Amino acid sequence: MIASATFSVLSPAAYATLPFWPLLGAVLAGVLIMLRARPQHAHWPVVLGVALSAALAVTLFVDLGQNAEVTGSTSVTESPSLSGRGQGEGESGDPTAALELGRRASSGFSHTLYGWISLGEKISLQNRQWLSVSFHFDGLTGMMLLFVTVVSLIIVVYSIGYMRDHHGVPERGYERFFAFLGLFVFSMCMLVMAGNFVLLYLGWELVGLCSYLLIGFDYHRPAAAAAAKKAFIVNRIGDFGFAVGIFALYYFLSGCAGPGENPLDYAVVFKYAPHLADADSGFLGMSQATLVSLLLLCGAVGKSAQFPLYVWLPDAMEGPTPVSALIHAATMVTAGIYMVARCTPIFELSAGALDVILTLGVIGAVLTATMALAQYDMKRILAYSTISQLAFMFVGLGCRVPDSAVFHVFTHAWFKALLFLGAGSVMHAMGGVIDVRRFSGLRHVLPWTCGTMWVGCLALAGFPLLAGFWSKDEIVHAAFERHVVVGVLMLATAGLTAYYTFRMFFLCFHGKPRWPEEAGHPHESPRVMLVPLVLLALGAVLAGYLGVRFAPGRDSFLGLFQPHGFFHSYLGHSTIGHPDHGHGGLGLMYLSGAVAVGGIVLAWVRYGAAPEVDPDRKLLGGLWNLWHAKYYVDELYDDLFVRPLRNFGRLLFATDNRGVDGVLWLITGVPRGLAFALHFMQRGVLKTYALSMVLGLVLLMLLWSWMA
Amino acid sequence: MLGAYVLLGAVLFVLGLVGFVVRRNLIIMFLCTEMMFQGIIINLVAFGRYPLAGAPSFDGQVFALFLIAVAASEAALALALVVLLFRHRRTLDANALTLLRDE
Repeated sequence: MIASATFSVLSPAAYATLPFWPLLGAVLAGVLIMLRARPQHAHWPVVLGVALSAALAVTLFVDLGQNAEVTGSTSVTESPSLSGRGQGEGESGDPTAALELGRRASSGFSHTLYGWISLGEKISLQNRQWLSVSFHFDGLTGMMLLFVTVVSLIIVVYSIGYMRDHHGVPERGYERFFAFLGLFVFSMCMLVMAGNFVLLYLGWELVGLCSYLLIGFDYHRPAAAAAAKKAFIVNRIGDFGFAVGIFALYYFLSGCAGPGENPLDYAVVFKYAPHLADADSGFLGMSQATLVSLLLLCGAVGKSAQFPLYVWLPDAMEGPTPVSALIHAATMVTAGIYMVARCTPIFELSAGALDVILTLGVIGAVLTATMALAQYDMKRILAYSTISQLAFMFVGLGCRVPDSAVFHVFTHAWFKALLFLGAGSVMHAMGGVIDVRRFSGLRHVLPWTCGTMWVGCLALAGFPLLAGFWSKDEIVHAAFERHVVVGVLMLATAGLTAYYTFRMFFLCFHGKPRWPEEAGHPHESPRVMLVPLVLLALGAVLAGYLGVRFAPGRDSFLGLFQPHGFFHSYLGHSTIGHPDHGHGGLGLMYLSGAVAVGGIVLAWVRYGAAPEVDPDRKLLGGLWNLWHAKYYVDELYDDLFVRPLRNFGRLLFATDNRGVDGVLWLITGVPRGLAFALHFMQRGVLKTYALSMVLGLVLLMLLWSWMA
Repeated sequence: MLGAYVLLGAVLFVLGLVGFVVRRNLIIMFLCTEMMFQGIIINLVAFGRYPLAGAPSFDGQVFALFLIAVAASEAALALALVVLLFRHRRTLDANALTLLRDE
């Protein structure tokens, strides 16, 4: 839908070029490979492309914000009635809810590049329906693009240093790595900017492909190749549901779309979404909204690594560390959260689907937080914490506060990228060793890495006043609002998060300095890696303040900041709208701060000296071993799915190889045998050929005269 | 009259055929194929002159001219091949040339 809002700084066409600069950079890097240029400078096209799109994204962010102010004057007068709506939100019979939905559907506007697939001439040529390559611009797009491109730029710059050895010589495949990174940024921007579900699916699959390519970057290592396949296949399970969900949306809604309305555009889908609420889908008695939501959710569960499809993410740590930071922490895995938030108008119609999201989130958060307690691989600890944080976002989505979930996505991107890049810096110095048992006391050797990691760990732990605190706190508030058990579980998980994060930190940076012999003489990373760390650390401190309001006059210290600030009003101008937030109060804020500090202190008491014998292992025994083995989930999946499927595959292969091919061998055996019998006649003597020709001719003539 | 001409043609053809099968020298064998050609050409002319139905025509003789032209060019090519073969293998014995056999 073309809304009245327009851009003031640049034209929509200029913003629409945003995803294509990194693609251009990736192609240029590929051309450099073909020309067999020296790889030293292969990063430049990609760095410049990503930088250009980051600049565009920042401009777009500001530009959209100005729009929000212009059009926001109406929503301010509207807001009292909105906040007074209560729990009846989303039911199609409610007139205010219908108004809200309509307003939301028309929030933002789209820019069509070209018609991609024609859906036939339904009414006339002018009113032909298209699946078009169109971009949707609203608050959610602006916010996602902002951190996706900026964090990507920082990580791409970091990779320049990381993908070289200590003498600055690029590793094997250096230029290939940057080409893939550029392709990834392009895919992610397409995913975020897409204006209809098919384009969203395109971006969705492209990021999956990039993930596969980058996890398997060291494809000659069997572990990396296996992890790449695992990520791709597990994602495929979710994507299947996602694709079916899009088909279902089209099936249910294509009848509603009027002339000139493309039936899978966001604006059209969300305009007619209320029709789905009460209609029966004909499948297990679910309403159409529930069915579509659950199918779309499948995709989100796979891509965002939620229970039960999270198993690919820890294995994905086989990829180079910048990839873990970029794809498996900061951006790609947030695609599922983004999609659910984008489809809020559909999901909020179905209480059942929201409960499923909530349940999956709670299970995933608790499960993976406990797994993280008992790991030694630094990157895997961070991977499990990523899953746990993504589960937090799911809980936020399930509690009907998608803007808080997106807020957590936003803050999480900064500090999780920081933590991974810090881990990469450690790995770089330690000669590729990442097991926290094999080194300690690194704060003397890597002061900058240690300092920035400290900031990142505090932010992840939810230490008050840092980024993670504000966003996590909102979700905990919403969880308590939803149900007290959920709230307590979330709070406990937050405590565990603080504990395992600082367990890792102390094991790595505290205690007496020692390192493995692979490290040689460890030294701090080059400046091209440290500057990104410092920038991300700044983000980890400051990002949270976008989401709070400064409210002087309150007596207590944390009360100076009120939740739901600029970030949330900015997101209000998107398909998310203004969710109904509870006001959990200051007490809960202090409580969650205390829980975080408590977790950190407990970690200090138990691991502050980086003991070589793990105290938790001694204390917890069997439970610890269960956590260390990740609840045997991988083994369970292996027994339940992988091995039966593999055996079934072997059976099919044998059937094809022996059965089908056997029949073909029998059939081909007849001419083969004949040829064998006759090949004795082919002696290469001209005369016998001539004679046999003559005899054949005579035979034919005899036959002819006999027939006549 | 037709029978005599056709008989002459058939005799020439069969003589060529027998010679081709019996003789071993490649040039002789080639001459035998030329003889088979002449048998066919006599047939063509005979059937043109004494058709089984309708009026006599010159069609057969026209075809005969074309066939002679084809035979001449074919003879030039084949004799050249035979010369090359002789230079290469130092023999013209057809029974010695068995490279195209199935082992």
